[in-house]
Amino acid sequence: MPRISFYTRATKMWGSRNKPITNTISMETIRIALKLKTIAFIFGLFAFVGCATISNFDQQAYIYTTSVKVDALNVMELATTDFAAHSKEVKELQTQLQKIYEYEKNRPKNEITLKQWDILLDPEGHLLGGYLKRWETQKTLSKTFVTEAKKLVDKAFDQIAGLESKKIKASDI
Amino acid sequence: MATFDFQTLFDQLKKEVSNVAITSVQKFKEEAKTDAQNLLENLKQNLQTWTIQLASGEITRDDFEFLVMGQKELIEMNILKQKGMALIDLDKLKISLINQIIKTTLSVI
Repeated sequence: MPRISFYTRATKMWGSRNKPITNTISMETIRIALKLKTIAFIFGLFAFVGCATISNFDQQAYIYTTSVKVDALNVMELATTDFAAHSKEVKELQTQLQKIYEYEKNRPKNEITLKQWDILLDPEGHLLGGYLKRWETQKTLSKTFVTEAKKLVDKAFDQIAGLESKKIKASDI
Repeated sequence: MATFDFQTLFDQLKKEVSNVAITSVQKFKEEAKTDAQNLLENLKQNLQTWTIQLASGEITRDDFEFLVMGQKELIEMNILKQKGMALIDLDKLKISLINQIIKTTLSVI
């Protein structure tokens, strides 16, 4: 077997100094680049996924909402009698609503739910906030009006609770 | 060292990710449509009821206007709910995609 110099063997394996060695480096570079690309791709996706667009489900918020809904509808029912006789119940309800509003306000990425609460509680509006103001102004409200207004407020609370219940739970992540 | 064909991985991901996205969007569209239809049906029934009550004197004109405005605000709340649900679905889609990508990548490597 003829003796072959290291350079000749190297040239046969990897080619000449100028071209094939460069090709070998290029292949290695490509492989590394592909791996880096894959890692960057996966990290990018994790960053994308980690960036939630809306708050996750909050059991406490859901319980508060459904619980205060019952109280609100019960207080609304009293509006066929004089407001002055029920100002204590109305005040208690308003305090409860304020606490929930504060809770919702301090949840991150919760702007949509907060806007829903704004509409529901607005005293210048025509749902719960407006209803309580109207009752106070007019002293009493008619039975038919109370029944119909309660249906709307019932559904309005459902919009808030419905959105909350659809939010992603910690166990889903 | 184990190597993998990046192009094959990408093609597979593209196909599976598209399937996840299409399914999610279709589901959201159907839910949003049903919800909006229910609300419109509710609006129709309420308007009919309130008109009859107004005509018979059971409610005043002010009551009627208050209720109609309340219905409008309820629709605004529903629109916000739909907007929120779209964002929830987007977040759910992201989670599904990342799970699918991890699963597919690990099966190919």
